[in-house]
Amino acid sequence: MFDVFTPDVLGALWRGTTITLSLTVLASLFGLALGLVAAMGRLSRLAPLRFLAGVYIETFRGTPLLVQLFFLYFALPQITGVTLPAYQTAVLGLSLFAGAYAAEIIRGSLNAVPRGQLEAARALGLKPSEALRLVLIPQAARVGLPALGNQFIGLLKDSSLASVITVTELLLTTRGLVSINYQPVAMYLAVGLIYFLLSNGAARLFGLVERRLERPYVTSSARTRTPA
Amino acid sequence: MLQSRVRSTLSILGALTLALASAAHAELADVKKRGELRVVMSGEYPPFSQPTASGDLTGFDADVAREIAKRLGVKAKLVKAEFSAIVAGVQSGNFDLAVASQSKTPERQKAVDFLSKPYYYDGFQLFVPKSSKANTLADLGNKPVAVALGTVFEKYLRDRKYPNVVTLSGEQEIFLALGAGRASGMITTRSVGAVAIKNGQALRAAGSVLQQDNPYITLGKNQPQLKAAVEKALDDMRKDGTLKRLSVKYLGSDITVPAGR
Repeated sequence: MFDVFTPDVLGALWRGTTITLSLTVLASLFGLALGLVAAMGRLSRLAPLRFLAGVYIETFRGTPLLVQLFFLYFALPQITGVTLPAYQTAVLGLSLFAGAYAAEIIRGSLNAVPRGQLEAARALGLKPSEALRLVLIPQAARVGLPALGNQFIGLLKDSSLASVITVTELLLTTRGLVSINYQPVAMYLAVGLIYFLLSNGAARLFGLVERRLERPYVTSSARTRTPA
Repeated sequence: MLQSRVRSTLSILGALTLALASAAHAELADVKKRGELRVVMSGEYPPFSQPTASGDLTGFDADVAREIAKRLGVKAKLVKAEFSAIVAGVQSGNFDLAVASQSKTPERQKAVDFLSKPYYYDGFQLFVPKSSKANTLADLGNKPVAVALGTVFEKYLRDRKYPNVVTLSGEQEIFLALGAGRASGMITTRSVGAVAIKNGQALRAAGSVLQQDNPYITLGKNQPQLKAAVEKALDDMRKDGTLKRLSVKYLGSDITVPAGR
């Protein structure tokens, strides 16, 4: 039965897995950066910035990722005359998509930090950028991390949509293999298992980071709870 | 330790695979009882199969399928599936028949049954944008060549170790990809390319036919009665001129007899 998993097939699955992982990691990082910018835009005092950030977020949250990818792949070259390779197109599309969701996660997390924290930071003489970097973001990170972890796992699976724009990630690799060996049961079970292991690994990793970020809070509350 | 654990996981998977793979196929009696012949085709392969504005399927493959169903005394239910999913769908019993312009390959023969004779005769051809100067694959200098996933065209490139193969779901997307500059050439059959050019695609045939290609109708294994009935319907269509009429209607010529005859 397992003669389907020849060295060639395993090699192809491995290559597909690395492309899926690199797509996901790149799109998450760019998405996080884009999300931070868009969240700052949404929270800005300047109306045009709020508007622009809102348009970006609503556009990419309000349309299917598949439509965005097809648009970037087929339509953008006709409009701009610039043809990005398929892999870069997929990273761009997934990043824009992830950024829109990350923006809302980050905005919510920043809002969850008690107002007094910013006021105290300003009263201590921190500049707005310092207050953001030293006071707001560290506290917001703890609030936002579970949701961002969720998004990473979502992105890992959404990256399979890059297969329709010819990126030979894990799913397209598998579809190609099935079209050669006609073993859909074994191949799709295997690919499902790979996706599961990847997202499970990611979940554990995020769990570790979460616990690390909780540590100061746990010890400080324990300290206050045990008076002399 | 790790290896034995992997092996036991694999053997559980194997047992599951076997259990799932032995899905039952519909024989002729089942098809008649259902009153419906489920026929799969690409739907992205004009003029053999393509969607109409109303969501139906049209083309040579579509009409051949309808005619076969009519001759079996049942309704035709045409299903559009990506080419790479067609064999697996027939194999798993999701479809009774594939009228999907499939060439015979040893791998496919292991998975599904082929009728005894091709239902038309064609050949592979490299097509390039009109502005291109290339006449052979080598002229393209390893630039991307687009093919539909899981086709014999893809296999042709892979067998020759062409380093830059771009796989899409079907010919219509490939035309788009060439239009968007995402590929420098494509391989499909001579007839598909010729009709596309006639319909305004800015392409031209590069060089001569690469390889003869004779498509077959396929069905799931172990269905002797259904196979015989389809075989007979197709033979009758050859004899009474129906097949030739459909070929002329969609392709402008009769490709249902071997070339040079």
